[in-house]
Amino acid sequence: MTPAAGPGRLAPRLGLLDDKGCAYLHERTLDLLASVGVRFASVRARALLRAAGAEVDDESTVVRFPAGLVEMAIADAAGREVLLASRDGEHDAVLDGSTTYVGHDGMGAMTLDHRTGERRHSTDEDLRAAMIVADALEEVGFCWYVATPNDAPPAVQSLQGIATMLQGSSKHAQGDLSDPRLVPYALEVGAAASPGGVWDPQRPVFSIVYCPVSPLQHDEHALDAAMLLAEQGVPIVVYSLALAGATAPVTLAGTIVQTNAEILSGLVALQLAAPGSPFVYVGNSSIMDMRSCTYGACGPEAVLFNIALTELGHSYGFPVLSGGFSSDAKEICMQSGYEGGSMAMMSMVARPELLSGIGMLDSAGFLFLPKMVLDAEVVRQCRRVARGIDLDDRHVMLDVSARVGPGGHFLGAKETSVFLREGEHHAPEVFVRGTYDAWRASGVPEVERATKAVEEILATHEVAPLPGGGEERMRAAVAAAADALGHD
Amino acid sequence: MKDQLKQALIEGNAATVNALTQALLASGAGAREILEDALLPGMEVVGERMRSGDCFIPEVLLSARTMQGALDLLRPHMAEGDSMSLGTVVIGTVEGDLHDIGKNLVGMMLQGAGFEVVNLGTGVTPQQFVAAVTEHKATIIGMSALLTTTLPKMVATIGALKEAGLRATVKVMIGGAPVTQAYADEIGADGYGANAAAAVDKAKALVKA
Repeated sequence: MTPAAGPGRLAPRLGLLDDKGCAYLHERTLDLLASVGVRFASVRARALLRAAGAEVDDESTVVRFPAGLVEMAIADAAGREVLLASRDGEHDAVLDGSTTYVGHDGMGAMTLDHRTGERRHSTDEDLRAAMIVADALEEVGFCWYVATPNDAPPAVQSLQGIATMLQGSSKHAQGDLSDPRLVPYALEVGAAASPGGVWDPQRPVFSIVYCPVSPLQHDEHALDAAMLLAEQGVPIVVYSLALAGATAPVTLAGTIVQTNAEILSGLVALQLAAPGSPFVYVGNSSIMDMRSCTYGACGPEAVLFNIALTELGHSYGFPVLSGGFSSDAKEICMQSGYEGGSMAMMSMVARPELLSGIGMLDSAGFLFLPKMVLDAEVVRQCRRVARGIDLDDRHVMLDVSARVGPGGHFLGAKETSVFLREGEHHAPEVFVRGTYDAWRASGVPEVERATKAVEEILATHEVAPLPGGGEERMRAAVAAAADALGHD
Repeated sequence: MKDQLKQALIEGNAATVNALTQALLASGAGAREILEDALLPGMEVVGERMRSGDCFIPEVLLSARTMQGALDLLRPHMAEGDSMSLGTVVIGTVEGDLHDIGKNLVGMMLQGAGFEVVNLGTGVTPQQFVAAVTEHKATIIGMSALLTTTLPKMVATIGALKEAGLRATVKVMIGGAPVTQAYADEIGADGYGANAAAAVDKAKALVKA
């Protein structure tokens, strides 16, 4: 009898929504879009939607969507491979479903300064430091607007953010831009970071997170900016930030349908403005904590939202950004480790193309740089789990077992070393294994180890420079924008 | 009957609260007596439960709405010049910001606690705040912002109040995710609430001060 061939690598995959579940949620979403509708403050979006057959009430600004219009937009954007280009070409995030790229959490009005222990408003320097750490960490695949540069003029903060992100790391920058007047300046900043100093719509070095305002509203300026950027090849990530029980139905199912409706209604406007433009669906939502009235970003509901919405986004054929790593805890503790870790792990095996969330605490309230290093460790563990188990004769190692025999050991077998080098075992770098005595003797608590790693990166890591004159061009673009839009 | 009224208010049972309020009025109880012996103590219990985490916000809001209904019944029976209100609070989300769920929550909780609330909505300019403070003779103005970029509008509004000569007569409270006590101190606001319950406590303290 010939031995059965191994099935090869088997990896864990989550299954929550089956086809029937996706179809049901889609139908209810279409019902919501057709009956209740969505408010669009943007005159341009309303005109596009009316011309495309939507029912538009200019007085209430509510738009009701025929199912066909929504499905046409889905068909236009689905199945496209979205590229989040890096400025050096070596760290591209190709959203083809084969890899989950991990990025920062965002966006932090505050930073917990790891040097002083003080929680204060974030500065441009905090954002830059978070980019340098991300640039150094192999586990980070793209950068997010993790801290707002509050020391820049308010009107141009988001623009300054994109510039600082592109300066601080050669990885792709995913930022925020909520004012259409900033679009030309943002494209100039993007051009200054692109090869040859020219904006390339095929290789966008930055993308934008656009947020509808729950329940069921699209802001005028933010959507106008997103539509203009989509026309220039900038990928748009539509991120609905509903709070179940407050700005969305209290139930998970109701919030999923509303979230889907907010994302899809945004998609329709974007596809009408820029047909076929790159689009990323967001598989994440949250609750309002009904005791403290605060944003509850993490916990069991978030895990379920992440899985279900990631599956729903994939069922349409969109690349998906989901969340993990983050926590509602205010300190590095069991809560932060469990919430962030379980969300990250569950999201990772739901296989989104993008997974944001490293570096923050307090429900994305503040940036804490050492957490980036700890989260990188979580990324490595998640990756090991997501990789799964290789089931083939080489990995079953019957030949080695025969050589070692009963009562022997595997430490001396050369295959043991080979497989260790191939990453069969996860090897912690910041987390601790080993003996209690060795741990006692080292005497350095976890956060201090992570802080030391951050300081070392900041002292030694060199970020690849921008194309010649890039920094000067960015400074000029931000200054010109501030002159045009105002310095206060 | 007052104990029953207090209990019904805690449970947010509007039908019972309205019926008992009318029955008490019919039996000769004074409006202020009903307010002070049943309704306000009921809301105290609700507030206490909220602070200790024993109830959910929607339950608090239900009691607050029920309280409003009872106050509407009492109002015609109040003696001339006798106010049921702890004061008038003008609230709004500052110019450039359209996030309002937190601000609305604070508004509803303030009403439940016995304040008159004038909710100006979102994107409120400093001039609109000033006009509303004058029009409604506000004791407190509450400004909310979620975006860091709109925080400076709080400073601008305080400036506008000073210019209009109103700063001495009105207390300024601020709130929202990027706001801290340190920021409140820095810009010269009188109060800050980290959440809706804390904002109500602060507002009560400010009118007593």
